[in-house]
Amino acid sequence: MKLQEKFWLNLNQIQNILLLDDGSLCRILDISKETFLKAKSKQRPIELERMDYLFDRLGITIDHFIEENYDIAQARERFMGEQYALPARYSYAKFSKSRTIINCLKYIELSYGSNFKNSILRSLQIDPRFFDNPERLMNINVLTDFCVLLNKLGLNKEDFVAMGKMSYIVNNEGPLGERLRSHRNVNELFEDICSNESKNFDLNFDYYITRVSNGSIHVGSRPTEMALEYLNHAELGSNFVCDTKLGVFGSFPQYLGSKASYAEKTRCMREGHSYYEYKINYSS
Amino acid sequence: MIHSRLKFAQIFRTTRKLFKYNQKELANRLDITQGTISKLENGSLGPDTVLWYQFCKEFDLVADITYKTGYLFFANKMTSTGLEFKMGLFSLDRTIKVREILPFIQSLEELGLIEDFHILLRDRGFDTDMLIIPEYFVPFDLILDIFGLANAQNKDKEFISSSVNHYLIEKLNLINYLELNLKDFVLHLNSEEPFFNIQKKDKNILVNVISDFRFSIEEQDALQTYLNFKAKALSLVLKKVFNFKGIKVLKHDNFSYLIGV
Repeated sequence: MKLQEKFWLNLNQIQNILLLDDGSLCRILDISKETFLKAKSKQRPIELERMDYLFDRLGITIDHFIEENYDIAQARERFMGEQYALPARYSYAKFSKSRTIINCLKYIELSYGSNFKNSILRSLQIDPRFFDNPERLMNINVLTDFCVLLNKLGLNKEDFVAMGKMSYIVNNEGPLGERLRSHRNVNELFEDICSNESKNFDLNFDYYITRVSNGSIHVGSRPTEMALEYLNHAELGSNFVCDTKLGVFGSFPQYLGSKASYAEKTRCMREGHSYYEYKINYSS
Repeated sequence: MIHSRLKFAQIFRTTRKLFKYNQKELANRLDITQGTISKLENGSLGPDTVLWYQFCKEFDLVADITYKTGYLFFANKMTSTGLEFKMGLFSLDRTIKVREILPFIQSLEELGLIEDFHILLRDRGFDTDMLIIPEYFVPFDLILDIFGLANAQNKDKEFISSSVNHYLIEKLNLINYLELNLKDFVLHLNSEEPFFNIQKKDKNILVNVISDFRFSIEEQDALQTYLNFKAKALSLVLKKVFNFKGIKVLKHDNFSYLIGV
């Protein structure tokens, strides 16, 4: 089938789903009914800028539309004005809080502007307003897909680590920062992170201290039983997701004044180890 | 609508030049006429949805992001020679990535000087289309032109004040990522900067034009404005990132500033 025909089939499908007659659709596209019908009879696709008015209302991208590769129910919800709904792909096993993605979004917004950020979220079919609350829940696929897309745009490991490190900038002035700053030393800080504060980021993994030495601390991590009930190992993140985690872990000692801290991965379940392990190096 | 069409036009032109196609070759790849390409490239025609989709697929661009941002992001890092675009009177001896001058370009846009900037560059034979590729290497001397323009339009103060905030954000990311302390940060600034020398002197920081840097009389004002910017930007980083209090920026002479910490 020619893409031009596919265009009109897909547009027709959207009209049917949203119960939109030609007149209502033309008002959204800001074109006359006459122009619309003429284009339709000649199977000539509508100008992108006009179609973008519709894509904006549906929260979908050009690729979603042409390839019919999107969550129709979610698009319908968005069209009806629902801001906080998630596509089905992100709506089960919701064990991740928005906090980590908020750090990453801040980084890409500062680096490439808000249009870039909003467009990335449109690719995931998520309304930017979903991230106005760090406690809002979703599953780990959001972060995985987000990183894959950014990698396709040329961002690499350094960027993913830097995104994680935005955690300190974003949270330092807030209540989380205040709690983390209250610890007397890095060991005590990480004990608290493993036992309590990690739950403010995600419930996909359990964290525990494996080794402590002068100027470094090792944190081990395994998927929680709850996460494994709903997600298989392969679904639980990716190397890019681990890179953002390195950034977040590396930023924690900064709350206690260590400017030169960073984390490295020393064990990885995707490479056959029985657990993940991160080594956090810091200056006292 | 007109603004959008000009944005599309620039994206079509830039991509074609980057991949070294002529209009006919691009038209063949997209299965349209050369006349249509010509109209798309001069902004008299906007692309329909299917054409835009095909164009982006052809060049491995993400259709939505390219349209929304107006920038060309490629999955593979650019290893360009700089021969795809005309550099005019500029030399490629010293280069900088487009994304590193984006803070200044944003400030020019805010002050309504961006069109003047493009005219200035075009008059010097420089192809401004390359400025929509964040990873592309461009001549470092563009910075002097940017500051020269702000100076010539008597908008240097507003320009500096607007740019330092963008600069702060950029450096904040860098300091955070590289875990730099103040000493390392000063070392880093010296390594990225071909015009100035930045050194700690007692409790102060001295920013001065390097002694063997050659510049023309015409470039003098631009250089002094850039020096002023650099000193103010550095003082802001010291205040916001390194928590220094009571910082003062003092003009030492025409080619040096003292930042009292």
